[in-house]
Amino acid sequence: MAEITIPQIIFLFLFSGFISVDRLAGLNIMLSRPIIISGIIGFVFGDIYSALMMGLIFEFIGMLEVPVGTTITHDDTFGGYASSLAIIFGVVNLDAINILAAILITSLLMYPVTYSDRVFRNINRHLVKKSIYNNENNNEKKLITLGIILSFFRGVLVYNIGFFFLYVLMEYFSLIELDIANIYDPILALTLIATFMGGYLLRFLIINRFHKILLLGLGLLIGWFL
Amino acid sequence: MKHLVIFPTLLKSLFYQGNWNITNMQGTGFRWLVKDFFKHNQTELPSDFDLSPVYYFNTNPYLVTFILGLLLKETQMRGKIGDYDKIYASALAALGDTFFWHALRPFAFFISLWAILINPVFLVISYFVIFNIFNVVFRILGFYYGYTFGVNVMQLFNKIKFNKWSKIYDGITTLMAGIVIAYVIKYQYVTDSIHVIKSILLFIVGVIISKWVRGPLELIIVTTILAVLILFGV
Repeated sequence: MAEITIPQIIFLFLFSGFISVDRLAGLNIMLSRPIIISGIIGFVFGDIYSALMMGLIFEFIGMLEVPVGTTITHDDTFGGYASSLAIIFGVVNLDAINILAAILITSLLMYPVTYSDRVFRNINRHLVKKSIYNNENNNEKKLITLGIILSFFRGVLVYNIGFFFLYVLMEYFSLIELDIANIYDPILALTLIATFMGGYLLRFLIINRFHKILLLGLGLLIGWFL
Repeated sequence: MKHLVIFPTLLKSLFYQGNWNITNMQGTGFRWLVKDFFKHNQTELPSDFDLSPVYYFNTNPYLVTFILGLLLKETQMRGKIGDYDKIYASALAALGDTFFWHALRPFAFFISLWAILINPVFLVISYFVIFNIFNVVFRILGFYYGYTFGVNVMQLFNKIKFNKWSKIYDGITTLMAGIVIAYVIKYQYVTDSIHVIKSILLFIVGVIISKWVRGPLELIIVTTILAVLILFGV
């Protein structure tokens, strides 16, 4: 890949903070979805196809979880951010085994990253308790501003540290010589995984079984003759 | 439709979850929005509105403006809001979460996926635009319809059959998923017909295991095991 420029590094720091705010504290305009993140990163760094390949997988994984009530869903924002950066930075070779390793390592790193979501909520809770203790009734703006700033810096810090770990682990992984590494080209491996995930996703759609089979069958027919 | 000053509160509604926490959920942000919306529409806060830091509130963020509209109407008509904030927060949370989080995301994804064949940038733009059309329209209209319908705002949702939207959108998603899967399988058929058999088998395995495998980690592990098996030529 081409050399990373200073504006690109600044962009990454701002972008990681911004997507964290979109996920946790405000906006909710879907900038924090893996597919959008990987598309933007790929566009900025000039390799949108490779970045989207990772974004698609994490979009699938994240789509299966719904943030209802107090549920803190797994941080797929980090998944999209770190995995597409890893491929852009050249630590993930474009073969099936390397891509799968990157997906697995990123997915495992998603757990500590998600824990930082919990920490963020707890800090907010602490701020509310402090308001109760001090009997402050008109400090909403202050609390919200603090929350947004906090989530911004959480993104900058946690997402980039997470990416650093992924980078280091993938560098070690790429040193392992595997004879099987090029059995499938990456597109084919991803399409195989996508069909599996497509089957898995169907359970989450809430239409009745008869309509589901009917529509799926119709879709398969259209897709085949398209 | 009555003239309401919505723009400042609309912008703030994008950030009202800034203090989201498990003690009062979105309570801090909602208090902030109510004060702001009432101030811009020259209405005194209702006497029974809880201004304390423990005020609890939680709803779907895309439908919050409906509650602001109806609270303004109730206050102007009766001078109090009763429990309407709590009642409608729960009802709209259930409706909004099912539609926006569950149905609209996969819908936007599968509809946009085709754009990758033309230009991958269109995929990103299309996903972003499809989701946010609903986001912006519901947020803006929420103020007006919340105010117009007042405590009968659920009639509006019944009138547009909003609770059926999720099923309709899921139906379209299923159709689109079928098209994508068939297209992918066809691509594999062109590459090597043996991949088609593997692909169909994987699709069936995906459908079957979805009954038992629930979290993303389990899915990732199963996916990886399957992928490694495939890589070894199984």
